[in-house]
Amino acid sequence: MRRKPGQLLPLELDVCRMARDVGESFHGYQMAKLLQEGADARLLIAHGTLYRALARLEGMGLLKSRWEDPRIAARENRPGRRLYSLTAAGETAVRDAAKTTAAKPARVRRKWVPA
Amino acid sequence: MGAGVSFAKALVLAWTRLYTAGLPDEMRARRCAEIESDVWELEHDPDRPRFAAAHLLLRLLRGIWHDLRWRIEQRTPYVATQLMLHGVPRHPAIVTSAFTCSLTVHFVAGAVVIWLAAFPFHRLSVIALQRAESASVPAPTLSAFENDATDAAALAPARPDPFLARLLQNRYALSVHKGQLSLAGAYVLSSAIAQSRLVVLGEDPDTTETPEFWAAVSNTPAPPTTEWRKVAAMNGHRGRNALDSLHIRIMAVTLSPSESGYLQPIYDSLLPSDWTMFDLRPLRQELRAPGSMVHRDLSRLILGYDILVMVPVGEASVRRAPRTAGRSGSR
Repeated sequence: MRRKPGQLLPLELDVCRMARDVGESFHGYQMAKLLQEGADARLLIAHGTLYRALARLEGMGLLKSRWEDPRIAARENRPGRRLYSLTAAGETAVRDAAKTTAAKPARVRRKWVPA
Repeated sequence: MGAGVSFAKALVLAWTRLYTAGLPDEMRARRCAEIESDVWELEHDPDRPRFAAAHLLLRLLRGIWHDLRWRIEQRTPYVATQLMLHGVPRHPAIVTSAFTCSLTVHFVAGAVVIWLAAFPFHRLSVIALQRAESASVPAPTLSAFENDATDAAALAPARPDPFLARLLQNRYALSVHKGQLSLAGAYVLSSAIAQSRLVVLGEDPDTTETPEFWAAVSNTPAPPTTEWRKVAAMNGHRGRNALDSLHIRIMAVTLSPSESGYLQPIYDSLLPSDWTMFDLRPLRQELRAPGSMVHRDLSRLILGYDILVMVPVGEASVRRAPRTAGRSGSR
């Protein structure tokens, strides 16, 4: 999908919305589950698609991330999680996207019929 | 963890290491750690998909194109800027090379999936069950259960048959009293249940002790994700239909007295008192041994069920002696 400057792709917008709804920091797999439930999909989103989107959102300043306290991971005997959270810019982007969606008239799909 | 999941996990991590090769150490370590954490979460998710290995492979395959584009973005700041602004890389050479890489990896991964799919279901289930053997269930040894060791020595033939020796090693005394399992078999059975997501009890409909046994099994502590199913009759079409409804493919095993000669090794190994429980899972290795002479129907029984419980003749069991009370299949 060709990106217009400053425009978020649908997946990125979904990630931001989910992050806002979660209200706290989340890790990649958690976001994959949320996206799956949100889209009522059978499969989780692909690793490459998800982490590329997260990296891009972080690069845009809409998300920030940090490693969780390694003591927690050690206590639970699992790999450490990278925790993401929505920034103020991210919240603004979600609000702006919601306004744009509300203001934009519904797109009428052209129907092709035989002549 | 099953071998299929281990394989898929190794493939995902290998692919991550491959496409992050050459990147700055910090960036590479971060992506690898994130993917490793993601895979671990999926593996330990109580609601994980049933075919976790296939799910992992599909997630890998569907994301390869994005992995490659992400790689390109990190490698060439110019392209990254273009991507941020326009969404697609402009340089035809980049597009061509990324497409070629993606096509190659898809082809290889597709071949692997087809190769894996060629295995029959029961072989996959054997692989999955090996996790239980190597995890927290300590491998039973003769020295661990002294009573069994004595009986094993008494029953062992002059020339030790590897299969019979293995059968005796995995034989345990089991008792049911006031809805609780006890003796060594209880420990093995509860360990197997604790590591299973689905416990299916197939009962011999003639056995009076089955309700008591099933009640005791149900009282065994299990993770909240464990699902219990009781199948009225495992033999014949009713049992098969019941298992089909659970999406479990299993081979039918007939245990009619006239045709149960192949069960003779089992009958010969019964303990004199108490119930006798056999952990059938370790016996599968013997079936695979070259030159294995195990009867075909006994092989099917061992491949089809995980645990076999034999009930001795008692006041309650008067019709047949001895006979099968329950065959608990834990998945």
